[in-house]
Amino acid sequence: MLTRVQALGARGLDVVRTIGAASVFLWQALVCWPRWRLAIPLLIQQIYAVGVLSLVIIIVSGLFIGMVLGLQGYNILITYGSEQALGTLVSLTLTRELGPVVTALLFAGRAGSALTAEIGLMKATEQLSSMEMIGVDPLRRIIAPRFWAGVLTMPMLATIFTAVGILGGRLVGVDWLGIFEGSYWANMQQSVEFIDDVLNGLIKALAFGIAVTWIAVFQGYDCEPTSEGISRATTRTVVYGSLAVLALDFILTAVMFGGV
Amino acid sequence: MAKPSACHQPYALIPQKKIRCYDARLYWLEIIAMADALSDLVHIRDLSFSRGNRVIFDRVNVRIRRGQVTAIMGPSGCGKTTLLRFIGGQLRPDSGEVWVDGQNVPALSRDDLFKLRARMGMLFQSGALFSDLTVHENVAFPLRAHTQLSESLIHDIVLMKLESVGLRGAEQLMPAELSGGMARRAALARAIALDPHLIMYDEPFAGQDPMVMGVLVRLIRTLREALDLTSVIVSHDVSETLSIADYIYVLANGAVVGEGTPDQLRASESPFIQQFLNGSAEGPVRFQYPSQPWADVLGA
Repeated sequence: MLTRVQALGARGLDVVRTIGAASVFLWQALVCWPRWRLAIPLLIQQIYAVGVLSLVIIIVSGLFIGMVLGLQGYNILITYGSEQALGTLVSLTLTRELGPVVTALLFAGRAGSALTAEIGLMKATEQLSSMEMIGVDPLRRIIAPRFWAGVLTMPMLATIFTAVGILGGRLVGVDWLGIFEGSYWANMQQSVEFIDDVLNGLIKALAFGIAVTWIAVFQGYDCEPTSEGISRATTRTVVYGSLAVLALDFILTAVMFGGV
Repeated sequence: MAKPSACHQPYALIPQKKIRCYDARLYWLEIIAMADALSDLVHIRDLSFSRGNRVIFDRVNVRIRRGQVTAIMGPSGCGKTTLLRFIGGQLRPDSGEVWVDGQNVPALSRDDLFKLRARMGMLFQSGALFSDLTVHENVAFPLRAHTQLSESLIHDIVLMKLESVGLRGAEQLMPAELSGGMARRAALARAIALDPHLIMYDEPFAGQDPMVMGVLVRLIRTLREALDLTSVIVSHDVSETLSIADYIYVLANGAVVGEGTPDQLRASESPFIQQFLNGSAEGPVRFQYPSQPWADVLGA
């Protein structure tokens, strides 16, 4: 019994130590005077790697999720004779919840795992060590641009996901199931508030972007420099990133919409 | 004023008849001690370091003189590469001091440490070239990071560095397209790009064919003579290292078990040094990992 309590305590200390190490890691990576001449090209390069290369999965997923929402929503709404409210259902579901959350989950799987594997492999092949010995801080050169790229692209990807999802809902609702197009757009325009829905959705996406990218870069930098270590770190990024997104979603939803 | 220790060697060097008073002797002592310290680019004092229960270093002392090639030798796993990581400030000791160019490395701030590293070069065992950059971009990397030179000047310097390692024609190749020996030479060109004061070679000869090994030996010797580089070589390739080193430290079991010039080490009567230099399986270091007797294993 005592051994189990000790093991639990040791695990707890490990978690606290890891959170502390991750915080110091992020602080050292981000708190510095930026050298714009070097930083901007690196950031653009990473926005391409993290954001642009994630576009295909985001667009395809957004389209299908919007189509499914359209189909399911129509089947439920028609029971109450309010199928004209499909635009409201699709748009609110996507802007408030599914847009940021599903984008973040896809982002953790696609870009997060790639970031972890890339940084882990750089560690295993001593590229990070050699950069340190050249006198260039890898936290600022490798970690910071990747982190900012993740934080900046997540809201953009979530916006694209939501927009494509709404088009997918329209495709099913209007073109296939025959809802009047005017009411699809008009109801949406009437019910979606910029601050309450769109802005809150963007804030969520930003928070998820910070959490997922932070986890991804830290796991890569902190991994055991072996093939097995990189594999474990990549898995941890996807698992911890997804759990963090879902937990944060609950907290943010409670704060943003809890009083409604 | 404290009386200087009688065993202080520089003190004995001062001609007695030239000393007029006690203060003058102390003054000269300080000058000699300072000159002595300045001649060491790296001075490791009483370094102790453990990983878990395993003692890696126990009060190790190493001095690396300016302009010399100093070799750190010893069996695999004795902490040779770890010692380089202390000089580069990538590890912090449990106790002891690591002085590099007059600065105590473990006490430096993060920014000062990176400034100091800009004056060092290190050749990693794997080469550690940046895999997403060409050979040219790899060599240009430290120049772009630490200087404000124009791109045309950087280009010329890179070509000169690549020429010195025989890879000018390979400037546009990616690291994945290089052989092991070429990758190490490209990494050497990158390590000397900023003309460092100190260059550290981590197992430069490991896994190389005799031709590449000969080229690397010649390069290390030429660099030392042409640029007056202070070099530290970590290696267990005995003949190559003895042929280029001015001074050698032999590490084993967390301590320096032998030191001296190549000739002094060859003449050493220490059984360990002789076993190491001759590559013999018989000696104080056991070849067999400790195990049960054969008879017990086979149940005889």
